[in-house]
Amino acid sequence: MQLRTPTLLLVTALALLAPRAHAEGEGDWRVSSDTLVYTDSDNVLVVTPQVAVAHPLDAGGGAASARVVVDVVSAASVDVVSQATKRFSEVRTEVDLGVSKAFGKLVPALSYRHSEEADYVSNGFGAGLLRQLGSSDTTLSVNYDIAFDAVGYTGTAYSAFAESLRTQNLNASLTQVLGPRTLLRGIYTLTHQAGYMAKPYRFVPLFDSAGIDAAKAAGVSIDLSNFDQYRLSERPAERVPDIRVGHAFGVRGLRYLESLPGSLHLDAQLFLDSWGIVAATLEPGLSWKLSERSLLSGYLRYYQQNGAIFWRRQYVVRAGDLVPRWRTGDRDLSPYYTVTGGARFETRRGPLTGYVDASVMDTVYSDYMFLTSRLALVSQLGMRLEL
Amino acid sequence: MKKRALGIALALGLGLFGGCATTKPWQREHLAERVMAPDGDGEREALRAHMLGTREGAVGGFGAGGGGCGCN
Repeated sequence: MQLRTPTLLLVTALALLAPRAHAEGEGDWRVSSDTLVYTDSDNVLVVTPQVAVAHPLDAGGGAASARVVVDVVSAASVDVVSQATKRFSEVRTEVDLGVSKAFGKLVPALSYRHSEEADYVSNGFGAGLLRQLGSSDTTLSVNYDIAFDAVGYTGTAYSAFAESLRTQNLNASLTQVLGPRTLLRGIYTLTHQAGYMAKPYRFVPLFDSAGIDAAKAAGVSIDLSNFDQYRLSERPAERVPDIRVGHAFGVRGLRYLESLPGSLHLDAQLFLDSWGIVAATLEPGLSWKLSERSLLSGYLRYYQQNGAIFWRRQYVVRAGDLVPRWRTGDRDLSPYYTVTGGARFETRRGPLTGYVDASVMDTVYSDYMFLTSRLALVSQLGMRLEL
Repeated sequence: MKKRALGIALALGLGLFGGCATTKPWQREHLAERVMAPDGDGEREALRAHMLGTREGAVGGFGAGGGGCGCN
């Protein structure tokens, strides 16, 4: 039943695209299938299959595309267990539709996205413009999208519990050919979120100085195994500010290396937001051309962020104090860093292209009560068929 | 102050980019290769960004945009 709406949207999109494709006759269909499997030491397993079709509408970069993504999640992470809940499973389905058409050097685009899961529904609309500036060495891209999300509560009708969230993204990028072997891209994204950004299932434990002192006297640090013993009986729902504004600045460089032969790439990114989070990302990588058909790539990724201004390892209150206005147990708002190393092999045989990608992600949380580290394995494989 | 810094950075960036020499068609052999595609494979990167979007606190840039998922 859950698949009905996205499937209907996809079938409608394909029906609309098919006659257009035959009429134009300027390109081929491209059918893609990918699957990503994520598993980690925090008892989370996510399997994400994806199917996409695309068809060029002109020689200038215009295309029509449709994509379906399904997340099958099974989790018994500390985030779940600390709420006295056992393992949960859920399915999330997303459909993306996009169309673009070239008018000389200008390529406008429109997109629509619908996603739904048991307690969350989102509808997003986007518009973009791609334009070559002067020579074909410089390309400017500007995109705007807005999403309207409805946050529900599993097992409860939206008429009984529903919160809303509106997210707007404005994205601008400039790609410049710096020479016969070098490309550079600069990117900026402004994100504005307004509405409900907490988790309705997340309750935040509170402590007083007596509880903290008792743990110290016992010579233990408060963690998942004993926090219930030291916390106050009151456990308020998570609450975070209802406005969040973020700025992301990124640079991507690509350099062709004839000696390999292959290319070197480097991504560097800085993110700042109104909740006080500052995050930096660095991703260097190398791609080797093993043959005309096959590529081997290796990459590293380093991500580090500090905590939100209202993040606390433990929210400690004094007798008679009010509950802290903002309180969260979301570890994505805590300080942490992640080191990722991965490799990918890609090969082409006639109209068929396939790849397999495997990576290891090691995350260290420096100020999270329930978890100090997490090791994740991510594998991704996919096939492309040009018809 | 922030707006001024942003304006200066943007002007510098555009100045640097705008000052680049035009690459001739016969010089674009390497630029046309798969290993030099700045977006990589669109579907593959979209799936990867989707996964990173739920594992990293930052949004935008080369990663996923915010919204559309209650999966954090």
